[in-house]
Amino acid sequence: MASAAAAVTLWHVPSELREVWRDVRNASTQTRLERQLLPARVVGLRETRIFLVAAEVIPRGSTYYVASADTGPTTEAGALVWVRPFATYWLLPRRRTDELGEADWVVSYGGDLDSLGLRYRRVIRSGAEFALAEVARDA
Amino acid sequence: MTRELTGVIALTAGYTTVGAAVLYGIGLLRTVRQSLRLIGLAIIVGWVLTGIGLSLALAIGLSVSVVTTGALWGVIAVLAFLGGRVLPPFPLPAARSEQTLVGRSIALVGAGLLAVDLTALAWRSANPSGQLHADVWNFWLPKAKTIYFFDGLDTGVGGFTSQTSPDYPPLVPALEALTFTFAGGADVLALPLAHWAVAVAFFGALAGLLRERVRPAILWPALAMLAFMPMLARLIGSSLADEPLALLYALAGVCSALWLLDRDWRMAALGSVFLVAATLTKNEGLMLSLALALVVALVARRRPVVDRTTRAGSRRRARPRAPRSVGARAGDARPRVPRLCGRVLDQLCRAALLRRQQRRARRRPDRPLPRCTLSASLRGGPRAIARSPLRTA
Repeated sequence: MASAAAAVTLWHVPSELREVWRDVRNASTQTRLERQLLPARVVGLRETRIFLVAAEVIPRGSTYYVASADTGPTTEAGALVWVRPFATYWLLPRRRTDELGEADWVVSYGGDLDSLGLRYRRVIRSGAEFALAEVARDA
Repeated sequence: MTRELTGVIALTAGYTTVGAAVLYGIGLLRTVRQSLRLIGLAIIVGWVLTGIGLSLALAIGLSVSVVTTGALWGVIAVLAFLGGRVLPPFPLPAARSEQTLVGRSIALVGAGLLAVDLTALAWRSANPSGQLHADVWNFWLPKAKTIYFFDGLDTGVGGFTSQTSPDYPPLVPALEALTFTFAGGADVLALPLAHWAVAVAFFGALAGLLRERVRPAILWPALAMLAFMPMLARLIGSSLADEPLALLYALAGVCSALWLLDRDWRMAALGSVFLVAATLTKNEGLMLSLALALVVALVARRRPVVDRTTRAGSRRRARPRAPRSVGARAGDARPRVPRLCGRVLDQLCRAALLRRQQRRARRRPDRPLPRCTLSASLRGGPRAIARSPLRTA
């Protein structure tokens, strides 16, 4: 039994070590920020600048709504379902809401800001499809 | 040294201290040699109790902070110290050793392979690629971040209960939030190193628990094989709840098996703590824990205690086995009553005896019952009945 365990282990050693080596090499070829954003790229969200802008502009504790398109010219349709989960993951401690009326900000990932029926205090564009808008509230 | 690394080291030192205190408290750890042998188990016990304690603290509205954690560790350490003053030491037998050169070589190769694998995993954990399972960044890490940023289980918009699967227990996010707290920020790339420390402690705990039972030539290759299992290697540092669940379940199984062999309550207590923590990792943990508890209970009813005095190298004496049921032993004149239901059985036996005496009195009114028989049987229950003349009547 001990011999069998040793044999199976020895058989697995090279492949496991190769996998570790691959992981470490991948890590060393990327910056820390790229590694932190890797989950988005893995699911097909190639454009991640808007998340960086949102994290910089939206104050901590503020609420935001994510508007994403069903299809996009630069993003595969299947990948767009990941926009909201990734925004939640990346933008904490900002609070994502699915109620448009509660949102202080709108993160548009290929969405149409005008179709939401809100007035905006300011809109920050990040490329043609992506934008961040602060919702204007009536006093 | 980065702040993340310092934080992870401080956190692991905290786990080690509180775990060692608990092991001292239950009598498992009394000497320096035992400390070295059980340091892995100490880290795991500290980690587990911290997770359970923080889950309860979150449930009553506290946050995961250095103050909360320090207070929790202090309470556990004080209770453990008090326990250590009262409870007798666990007679930890000497570790088994190999007599032959072949056996020693096999053990050495196994231990070497385990060390190689853990070193490789350390390298990977120190340089994480950032690739995460979708479940991890979809809800495990967001939940941990909400605990860290919003000071507890926030029920508001975007809080803990707004995340996917809010009904899952909070142990895993609480422990990740604690790592964030010690690392000085919610940097997910700091987590794999903390997970690696726990994984190393897991292998140390297994080795520490099994060294007296398993030959080194079997133990170390088996541990190396476990370490090189592709699924386990991928789980370590993944931040999936399956990672702690797998480790805790394995340790619960080992402690349960050791309890079945020795029937020392301390192993049952450790196994129960691991099962509680496994239940708090994810909902599936409850079903697994119940299954293990049921199997252990069934085996415990059937399996006799192994007399360890017959085994070479053992210094412990076996304790007499608890009787199983009334009159279970052949040739035993005295009925035996299990301790748990003894009172109920006593009362039933007394009632039966009274009815029998009444019937007898009705049949033979001319012959009164001896007073001593009646009073003794009423006082002593089944044991008195067994001794009384009525038993043979």
